[in-house]
Amino acid sequence: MRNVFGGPGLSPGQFSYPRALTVSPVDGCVYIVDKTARIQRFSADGNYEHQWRMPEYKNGKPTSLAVDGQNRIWVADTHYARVMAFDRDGQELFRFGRAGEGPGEFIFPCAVAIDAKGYVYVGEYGGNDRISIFTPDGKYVRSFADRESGDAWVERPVGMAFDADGQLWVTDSCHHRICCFRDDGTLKDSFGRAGSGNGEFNYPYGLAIEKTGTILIADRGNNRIVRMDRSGRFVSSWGTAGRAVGQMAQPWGVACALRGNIYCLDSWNNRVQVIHW
Amino acid sequence: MGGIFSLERFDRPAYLWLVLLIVVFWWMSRRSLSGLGPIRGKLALAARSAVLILLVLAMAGMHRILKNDDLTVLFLVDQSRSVSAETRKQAEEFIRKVATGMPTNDRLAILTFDGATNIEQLPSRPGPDGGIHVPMPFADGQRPDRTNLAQGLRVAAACALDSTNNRVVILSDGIQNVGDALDAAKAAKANRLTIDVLPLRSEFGAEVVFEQLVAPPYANLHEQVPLRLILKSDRATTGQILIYQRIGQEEELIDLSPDSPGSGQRVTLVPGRNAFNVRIPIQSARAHEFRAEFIPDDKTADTMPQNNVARAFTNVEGPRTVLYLGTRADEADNEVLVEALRREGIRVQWEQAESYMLDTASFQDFSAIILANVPAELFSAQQQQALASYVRDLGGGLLKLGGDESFAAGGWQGSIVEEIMPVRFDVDSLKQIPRGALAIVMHSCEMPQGNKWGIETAVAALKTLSRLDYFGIVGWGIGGYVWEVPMRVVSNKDAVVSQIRRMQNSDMPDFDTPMRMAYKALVNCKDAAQRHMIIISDGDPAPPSTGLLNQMVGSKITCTTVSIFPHGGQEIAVMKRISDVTGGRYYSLSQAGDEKQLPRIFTKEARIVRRPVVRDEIFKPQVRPHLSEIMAGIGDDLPVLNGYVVTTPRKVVDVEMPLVTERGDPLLAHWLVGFGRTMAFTSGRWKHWGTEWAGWPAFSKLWAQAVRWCMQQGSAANYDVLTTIEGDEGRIVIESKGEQDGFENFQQFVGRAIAPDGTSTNVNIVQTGPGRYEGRFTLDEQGTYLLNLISSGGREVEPTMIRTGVTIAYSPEFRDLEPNEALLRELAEVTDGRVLTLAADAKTVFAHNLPPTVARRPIWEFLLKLALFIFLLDVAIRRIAVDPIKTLAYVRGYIASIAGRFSPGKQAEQTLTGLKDVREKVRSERTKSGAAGTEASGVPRPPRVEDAAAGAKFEAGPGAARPAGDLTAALGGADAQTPPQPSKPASQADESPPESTTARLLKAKKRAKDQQDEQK
Repeated sequence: MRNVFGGPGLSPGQFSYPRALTVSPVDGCVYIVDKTARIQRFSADGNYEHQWRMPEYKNGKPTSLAVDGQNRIWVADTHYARVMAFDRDGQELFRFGRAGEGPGEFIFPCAVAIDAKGYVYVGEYGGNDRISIFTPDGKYVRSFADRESGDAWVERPVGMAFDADGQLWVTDSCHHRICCFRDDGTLKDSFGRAGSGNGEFNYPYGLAIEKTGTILIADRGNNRIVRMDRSGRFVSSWGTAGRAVGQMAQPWGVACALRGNIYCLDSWNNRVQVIHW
Repeated sequence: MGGIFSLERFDRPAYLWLVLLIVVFWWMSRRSLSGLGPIRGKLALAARSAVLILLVLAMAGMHRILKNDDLTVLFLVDQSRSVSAETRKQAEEFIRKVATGMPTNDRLAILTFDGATNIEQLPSRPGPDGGIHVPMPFADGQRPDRTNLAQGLRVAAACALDSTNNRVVILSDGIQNVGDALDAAKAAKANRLTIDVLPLRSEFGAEVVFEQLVAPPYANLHEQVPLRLILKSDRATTGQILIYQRIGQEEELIDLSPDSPGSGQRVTLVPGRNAFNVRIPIQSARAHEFRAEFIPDDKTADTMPQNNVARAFTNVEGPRTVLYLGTRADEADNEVLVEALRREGIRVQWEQAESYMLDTASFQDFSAIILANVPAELFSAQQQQALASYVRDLGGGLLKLGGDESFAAGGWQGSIVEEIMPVRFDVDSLKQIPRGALAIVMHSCEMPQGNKWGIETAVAALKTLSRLDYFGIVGWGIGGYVWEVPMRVVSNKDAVVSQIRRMQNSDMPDFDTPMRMAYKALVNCKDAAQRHMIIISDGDPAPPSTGLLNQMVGSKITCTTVSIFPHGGQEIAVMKRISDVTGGRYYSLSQAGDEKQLPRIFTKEARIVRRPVVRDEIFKPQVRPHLSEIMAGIGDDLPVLNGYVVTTPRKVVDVEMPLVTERGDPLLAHWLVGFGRTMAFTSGRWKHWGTEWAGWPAFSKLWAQAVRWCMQQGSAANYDVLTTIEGDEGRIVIESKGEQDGFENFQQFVGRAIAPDGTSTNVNIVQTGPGRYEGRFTLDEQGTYLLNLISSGGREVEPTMIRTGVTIAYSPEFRDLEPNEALLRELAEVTDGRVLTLAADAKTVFAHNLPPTVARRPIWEFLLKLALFIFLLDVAIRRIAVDPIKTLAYVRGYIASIAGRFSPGKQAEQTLTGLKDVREKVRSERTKSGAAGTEASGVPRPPRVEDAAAGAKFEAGPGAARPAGDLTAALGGADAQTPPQPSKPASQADESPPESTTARLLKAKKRAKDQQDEQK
């Protein structure tokens, strides 16, 4: 255990049921969004730096964040059927998306990830249940992993991340598994089943990829962070259910720091636990 | 704050005297520690002393003192009706302004208050939008018709942080009509709270207030009832007064000036109070409610229309009426009984329960109420409460008839109405009745106060169930989907309620898993005839699989869905599909306030599994031995009935149960409860279950006797009764007159006041003069308060029942419109606060001019831990001897060996050096021993006392037996008494070629051996 920061409350540096976190690959800052629709920026050490609020949030709050190589913060604005991009100080850069079930439209975008070329991948649930690809300026390219995709269909893909080979790793939450997609959108492999044992998941949510290539998964229902290798083999897990430090209550997210630390978004405890593991 | 030993740091400073024991302690320790040597002895003594001091400090209750200059400002904003919308807006703008510029380390909290207090924001530091983290404008309060500033101050004090300074800023007009704010301010002062006030002034302009309408509590039929109207105006104006008369559910305008056009009476008001009298003819014998309204000619002469109305009522003695409530579906059944009662001369007012607005005021019209197969969900919790109060407190009668929508089958189980009935609606044993099973999928967290409403709804559903039914709740807990309440028979409802109240459900990812859990549990309830599922959610979770829904249909499990504040159409579609496919119902709650419907919806849904309590079978009613006057002249041969609702008799002697079914279940039962009477007839539905009863000659006689037994006992008009409103209190004055001496003294009254929401309270009536009695009761809300008083009687007065009441036509917020700035200033003075204006800025409001906060934290736990540590240290000092010289040598050697490991050459050199040292040491010791003692006796000298003391404590003392000789000798090794070899001259050594150390050692060994051989 390296550090714990946050705590319940509305003040800067505190959280009200945080739902997503991400780490900037540029400066290592940590961004966290909670149910007050605030996006807060912390230093890599967990010191509060800045915050801003989403322009609208009456309908609901965002559930996913990602930072690209230009240090832009991408937000899946779930209940407004759009994706927004901000600079590190919260100035809106642009937005795209509208409500609907057609190509390039959203019902509930719940995950966003940026690939090496800057393409934006958006995961959805609530009817569309698919992953759509957009150009860096928000033009629709194509979709995959939808209901018509057979075994490749993902239901509530909350966590998405790219590995060094450009493969997309996705937490298929409602199917309790982790999927790996090739860059053409076809399913390469999937791992896991419902349960609490090794190699099993109970609504996996957040996902991150370490420098070594191993995968970290926030196993929300099992209150733990799971590490697995790229062949789907269970390596280890960290955390048990509870309120004490070292325990977790419904972790929604996980992210890797530049220095090798791991940020665990301990949502129901309104805090982030930083571990080296 | 003084130094570290300032008395303020201690809870019990007297214990500090115990420190003096240290002198005794030292004196005692001198002997016990004398054998440890000077350094260890002193260390041990110091450790012991430290332990003693720490224990004394802990006993004295030592605290750590924390000083803090940070500030928390708690805004307390008046939301009552006496503050105009414009003024509220100004107040909010003021808070927004100062919150924008507040210091970053300070905190801001916002509380709004009217009759209740609402915490909008707990103390928080500023965020991206400044110090305000909640939406503005603030939501309307819960009780805007009252102002309870005192409660607001108490809640603010509870929200204050003890780690910072705290300042309450009250934004109010100071008009309070509940509680005493000054008392609360004094308590706040004691808690180091400072109160600043910002008086709000609402401009209402010219105003006319209808202060009171006075009507006599009792009147006779065809009498002209005198009404007295009192109005207050702040300027001269003209207008007309209209008076409406309400009889039953209808209200009609009375023509006060038949000779002129219009129905009102023209009046001219002068500044101050104005009184008028009118007389109203009474045409019917029942309760009459009057409503008087003033309409100004010049609209600018009166700003607020809310306070232009007043109400009063009068009871008119005459033939009594019974209210018959039935549903439209049972119209033919109801007609049978209504006609029978009317044939017997009973006045019956027959109403449809679906549309009839049952309220406290309407109870005055009726001597009894009949509920004919009416389900519970047609009455709100407030109406059910009022119904119970009508019986218990007003002495009314209630007759409940059976049917498929009545008793437990109608969702009445667990209601307050069940409590006043002579039978319990629950069924004690199975009685061949299959159980029901209800599973709830709880996802209420997505609505405001979602957890609270989830708990309320679950409790409401549980109450409706029988103790033989199955019940369970699935939710998303800390470990994923869990049974918050495991599916089981709810024989112990209290325990289940406790479990429900501990629920904390969270965001649910999908429906399939929890529905599958609920489905499996329901299927496992093998002996359940009805299985039902209810889902409460915003529809956000992923939908269930079609396969699961089909399985539910196949297992005849219905599912009702309740959408709470769905985000969009897709979510509604998901919820609708589940209910459509499984044959359940769909409810949508999307507007603010809709959540209040939840308990009723769940009550209604839960009773689906209660259908088995209805028993459709032909039976002949059995007459049991009884003393019931209802069965007088009826005989024992009653016609058969075709069905009834199963209930359980109360096992108390007060219940009369003259009729039972062939199975022994209650059919007709009645008892006295409170001031009133209730009766249960578990059958009914005369066109279905009671076809033979409808044609039975004794039918109307039986029911006439039953209804007359239930009817309210007559009231007495032998008293002069006056009720008035004084502030937030009602006052009743009773004058009792005897026939001879003019006064009837020393009577005892038992009184109950029934509020508009149906709740009742005791009214204490005391004698205040000859024949004069007075009592007071609290008026919390707008509406009609009914009073029922039972007198004990006296020498010339029979025990009687007096019914009267008062009506609050409008909120007291509209009565007093002048700001009470004097009160606000007093609050500030009492707490050393300031009077602010709307021009004040953030710097002023957040001024750090309060003495720094001093927080005391108890440290006894730390002191005890430290004492324990030092105690162990003390033990170690006394038990473990450490020779500093040896330790130092050891450390040096260790360091050298470490260094040597990294340098092989040096290591070899050090080894040789070490051997040399050993050799030199042996030589020098031999030389010394030869000089000191061995040469005389040839026996080694015994070890000295000092040497023993330097060893471990557990070594034997100087007098103990020791081996004769050292350990080497005892083992047969070299003896220390071996005489030393004469040393070679230095010159010879210098001249000889250098020898290796090993060679020299070998030679020395050989020499020693030779010498030994020679000695032999």
